[in-house]
Amino acid sequence: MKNFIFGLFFGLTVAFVHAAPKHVHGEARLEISLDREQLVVALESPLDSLLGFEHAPRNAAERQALQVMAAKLKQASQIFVPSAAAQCVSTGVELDSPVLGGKAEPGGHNDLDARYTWRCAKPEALRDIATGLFAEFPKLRRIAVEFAGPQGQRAGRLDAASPRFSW
Amino acid sequence: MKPLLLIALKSAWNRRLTLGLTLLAITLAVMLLLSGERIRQAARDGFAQSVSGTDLIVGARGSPLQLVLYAVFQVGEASHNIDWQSYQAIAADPAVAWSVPLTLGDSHRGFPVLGTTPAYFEHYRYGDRQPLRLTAGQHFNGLFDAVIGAEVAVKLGYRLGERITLSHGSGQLPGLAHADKPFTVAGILAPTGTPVDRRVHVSLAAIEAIHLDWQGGAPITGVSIPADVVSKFDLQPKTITAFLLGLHQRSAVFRLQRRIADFHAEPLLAVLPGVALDQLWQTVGVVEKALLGISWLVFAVGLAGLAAVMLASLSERRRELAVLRSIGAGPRHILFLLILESLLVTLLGVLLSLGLVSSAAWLGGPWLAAQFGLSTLPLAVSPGELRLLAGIFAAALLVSLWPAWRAYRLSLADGLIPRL
Repeated sequence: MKNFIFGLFFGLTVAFVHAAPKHVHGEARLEISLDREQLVVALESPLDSLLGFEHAPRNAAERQALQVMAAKLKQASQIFVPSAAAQCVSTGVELDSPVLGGKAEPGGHNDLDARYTWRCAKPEALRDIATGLFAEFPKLRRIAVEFAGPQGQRAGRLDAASPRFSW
Repeated sequence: MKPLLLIALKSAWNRRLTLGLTLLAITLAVMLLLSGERIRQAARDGFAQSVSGTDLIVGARGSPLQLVLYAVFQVGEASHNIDWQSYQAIAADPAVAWSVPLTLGDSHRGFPVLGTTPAYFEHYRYGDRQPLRLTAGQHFNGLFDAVIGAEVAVKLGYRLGERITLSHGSGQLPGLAHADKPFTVAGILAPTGTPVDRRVHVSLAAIEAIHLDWQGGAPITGVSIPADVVSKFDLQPKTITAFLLGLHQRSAVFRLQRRIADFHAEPLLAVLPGVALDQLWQTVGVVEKALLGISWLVFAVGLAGLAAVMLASLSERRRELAVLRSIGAGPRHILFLLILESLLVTLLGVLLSLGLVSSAAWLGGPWLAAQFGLSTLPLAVSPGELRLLAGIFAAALLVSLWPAWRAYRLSLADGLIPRL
């Protein structure tokens, strides 16, 4: 019986569980890892969801938009809010995208990778992390989350209605 | 106020049987709701932690779910094997702390056979990072030693020293048994509630040895290599099915996952097992919701019972309430008395059920973990449960308001005139 249920379970769901697709507009990926006091959050998002276009800026307005986006993303405390009790202090934000370096392929799809790090005084009190990405970037619809922490690995999905991932 | 409470207490004691029944109804309903919630949570955790402490599972490129299913649950099979050289190259990555190779494909009377190394017993973890324990015997020592899971031992009635034969594939076809090279049961593992219980573990070298005189999934006609000379052959496996990786630093897991995906010699796939299993659980979240729905239905039945008992006890109390009013108690006092009573009964019921559920979790938790693979049942009240309890309290209060309101409305004369 147990096997039958397992089989049914898995047969029905093979189609649904898959590695998050590489580049879907409106959908981003978050990889969160917590190792002792170090919290690392890596964001991978289609540029379109953050910027509205994916090519290298062609005019002053687009250059301006790119700068605004980068400035917003660099505000770690606006973009991610770890549990207050854990007393995490942001230790860095790195942004990486072909567009930022001016090397974007014309007509191609481009991503933005961002890496946020924190040092937490009380990592055992770190139970969740909320994101302000949906508020800052309305074109972003969903974020698939993968988490690896001391209590094990977890998966989750975030959207504007539930922007908090807890474990 | 004090005399009123005294009256309430004495009146309650007078009706201890009916009140006791109400208390029982509430306790049972809350207990079911609470234990349903806790078991649901533990089942989810237990499932996601079927394999814990393993940072990555690596196999041939394909669907992540397929990889987790065959590597962890032995459901389905791999589309390709992995080269031993690829395994060696990735296991040598500086980020890797330990690695455990896995080979699948054979079976013993319906139970999957897992070829691995002694490192498996050292590093494999399940649930809250619990290691595998032996109830009897030892890990494999000799070439043809097997270590069997708890369910295999119980279902087949095996003891230490039992001689067993492996079959090629799932064992459905005749003539595909490795009868010439029997294994000896060297160790029996303690129950874990995970797929480990259903596995027969042998060494990688033994898997290689029983297939020495095989080719393309069938014995080579006319060739037979006896069991006592196989150790003269090179028993280094050429391929394996999958392998488990543990890392020095958890934060390296996503980077290593990408490095493995970009591995040049062979198309490989690395998955975080907990993530894949959690995603799977979420896709079948309907089942979870159904369980929660049933818990609430049970609670609704409990509340209906509470209301019924209170309404019934009201007719029992008509005289009492009327006497109280005739000596000067206002309708508000009556209302207060009734609500106070039901609040106290609900509170007592909630506390009682919390105590019962927690002590049951404390006493029965280890057994449940071993039998069903539930992770440790929580003893403390979680914030989610507090909200649930507040909801229960509010619901019970609302239900008790109805009989209270009826008592309030009943006229004085109605209660005092004796009925014939």
